[in-house]
Amino acid sequence: MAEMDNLISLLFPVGNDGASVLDLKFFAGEEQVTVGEFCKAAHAAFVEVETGLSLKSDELEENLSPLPVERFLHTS
Amino acid sequence: MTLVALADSFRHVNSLPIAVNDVLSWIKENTDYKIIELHGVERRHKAFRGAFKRTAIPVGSLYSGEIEIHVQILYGKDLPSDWRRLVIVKEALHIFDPPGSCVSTPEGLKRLIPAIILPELKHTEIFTPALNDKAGSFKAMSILLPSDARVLLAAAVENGSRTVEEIARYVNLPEAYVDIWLRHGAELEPVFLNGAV
Repeated sequence: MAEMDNLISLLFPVGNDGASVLDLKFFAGEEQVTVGEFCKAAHAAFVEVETGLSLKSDELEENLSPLPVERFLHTS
Repeated sequence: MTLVALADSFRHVNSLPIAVNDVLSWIKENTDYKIIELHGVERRHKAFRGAFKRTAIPVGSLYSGEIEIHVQILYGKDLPSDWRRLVIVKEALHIFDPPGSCVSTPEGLKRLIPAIILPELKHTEIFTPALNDKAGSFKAMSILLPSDARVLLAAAVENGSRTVEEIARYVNLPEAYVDIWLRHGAELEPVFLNGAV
């Protein structure tokens, strides 16, 4: 399958300066897709990362207001 | 350090929601995984919510054998914050996966993808890394909705003083996962944390 082959070529490049993939995992999406569609989407995402177009960070920016459980349970 | 140690350190957290950065910081401080990159990406077809890639990169002089481990976590930029939080922590926890649950070859990837996207069991190959992948979201729930808080919140649902929807909003996690975790977390947590999958 061409899409799977493309994804494999991207994630397991020949040589790769000695770097080796130790593990790959995915969180499936909301839409039911074929294996080909999944590979195409994953390929596009990893290309985005490799070309520097992804939104890269070391931390997740979150705007949280933590509240103790007891207080949450006693507020109406 | 293990996944159990991580869960133990969050077990008594009483103020929710838990920040994703607190989980990432624990991992960086207590394991060999110092380089963890988050990448927000576009999604086509909403085929996936997130992905995890762990790579060994040679450093130092030729033949020194020194390596650095780089972790890349991909998440859909369009995901709402509750899903984004679950996806990133689920993917981050894969650093604890045992070797038998890892996908490190093209052949493994060819087996993994069909196994994680097919909704019906009858066509699903039993492949340990795929089971591990599916279990990952519940491992993340055990960190983001820790047991002490889960017991109190589950009791509130049971006595009708709070709804699952309210609690999901409070902990900022997807309602379907919060529902399952409040009802079954007590039985599921030991199964997932003790490395059965």
